[in-house]
Amino acid sequence: MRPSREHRRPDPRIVAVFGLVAGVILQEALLPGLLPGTAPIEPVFCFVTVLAILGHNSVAIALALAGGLTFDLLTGRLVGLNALSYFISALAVVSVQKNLVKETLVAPAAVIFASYLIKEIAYLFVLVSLGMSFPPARVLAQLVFSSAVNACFGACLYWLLHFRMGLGVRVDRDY
Amino acid sequence: MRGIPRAVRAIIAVLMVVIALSVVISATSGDRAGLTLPEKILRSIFSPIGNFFWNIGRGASDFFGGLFRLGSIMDENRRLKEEVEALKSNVAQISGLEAENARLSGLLDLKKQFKGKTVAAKVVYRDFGNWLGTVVIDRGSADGIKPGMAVINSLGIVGRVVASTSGTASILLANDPRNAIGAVTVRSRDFAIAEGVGDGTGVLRLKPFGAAPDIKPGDLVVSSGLGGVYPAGHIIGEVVDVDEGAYGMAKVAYVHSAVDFSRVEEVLVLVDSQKGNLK
Repeated sequence: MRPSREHRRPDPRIVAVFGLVAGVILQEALLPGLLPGTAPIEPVFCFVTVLAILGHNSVAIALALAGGLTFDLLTGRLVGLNALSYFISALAVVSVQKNLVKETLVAPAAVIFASYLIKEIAYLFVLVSLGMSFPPARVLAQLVFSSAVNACFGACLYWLLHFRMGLGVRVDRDY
Repeated sequence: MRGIPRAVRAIIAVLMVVIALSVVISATSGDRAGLTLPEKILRSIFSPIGNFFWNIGRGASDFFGGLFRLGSIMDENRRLKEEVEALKSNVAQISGLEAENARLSGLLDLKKQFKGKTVAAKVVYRDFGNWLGTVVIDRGSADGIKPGMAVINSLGIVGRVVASTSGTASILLANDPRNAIGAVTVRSRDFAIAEGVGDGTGVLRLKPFGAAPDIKPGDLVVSSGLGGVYPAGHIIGEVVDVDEGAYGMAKVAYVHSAVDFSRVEEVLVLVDSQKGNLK
């Protein structure tokens, strides 16, 4: 008997581990080499947010901490900063994901845009509290540009994980 | 814990994670003499992998860049189309090799100019964030590299070493807001501090010490050697803008570095910083 789509659905924990390894390689080595200084794409962040939108709350939060800490340990400065900012944005998405319309790409893209803003604001808050300063115009431009780039990348990832791989958590609604 | 509602337990867990991470961030915000064991292990695993994929990325970038340039040349030289077609695949490869050769030759020339020991190194991966600038190179304490050493390339100052393992070292780039360089203008000899702005464009903020500094756009700025990290005479950049401030009291200049921090690939670490002055 041919297995149903439900049975063929991959385990989100395995997908998360694969996403973490591939994302770290992409984010730290391949993309900076391929597109130096141009595209601030963060595949691991997008992966965390997409898993959170799809309802895999604990996997998303664990991946946020593991992914963030991996980056922090690899670069060796301000250890915990990426983990903290990823964690805060993942929590924000987990808290609203039940109310999202998940059958289009618009709402997930908007959520990824907003969660990237939250992540960057948390990141900047720590840097500023440590005495660093940044030009406000540059901050605004960079936030909008990076959020838009990651929202586009995240929407593609959402399409792959939700519509192609069927990774979303099924919720029976009574309305 | 059983009597505590689930929501309260979740809030406590979140707070504990946030506090723990904040403590670690605070503890690792300054310069550290060495890295922790997890950092060393992770680096030793990721360094060769990162180097491999970095080379793939650079190779692909050079290949497509070569093809892009080839397209415009073909439009201008239609009569050479047949010959260009035959050489197309070779040109894409050669353009990458030529660029690497030019960079390495520049580094070799630079290496000959120093009195003290220097170590040439290659970037293996970098911090991806928008606000800070850190790269990791493929040489470390086994080659004598230690935190606090200056790092340069043929275009000027790149940054300084902030941590090292036996086979890798982290470089804090000069445009990172945590970096500050003792500087002096070549024309007027005004001493200043050049610090990273964190705008990702390679611009550094120059804060002069004197009451009435004479700094103008176009002035060349070099390291003063007074900070103890960067030896004197290395190029920091060229003044591109001067902000007089209110009533001319707080003059701040902006210096554009010739180093493209997002594309740094090969660097030279000045192991003998005291002897790192130019011959």
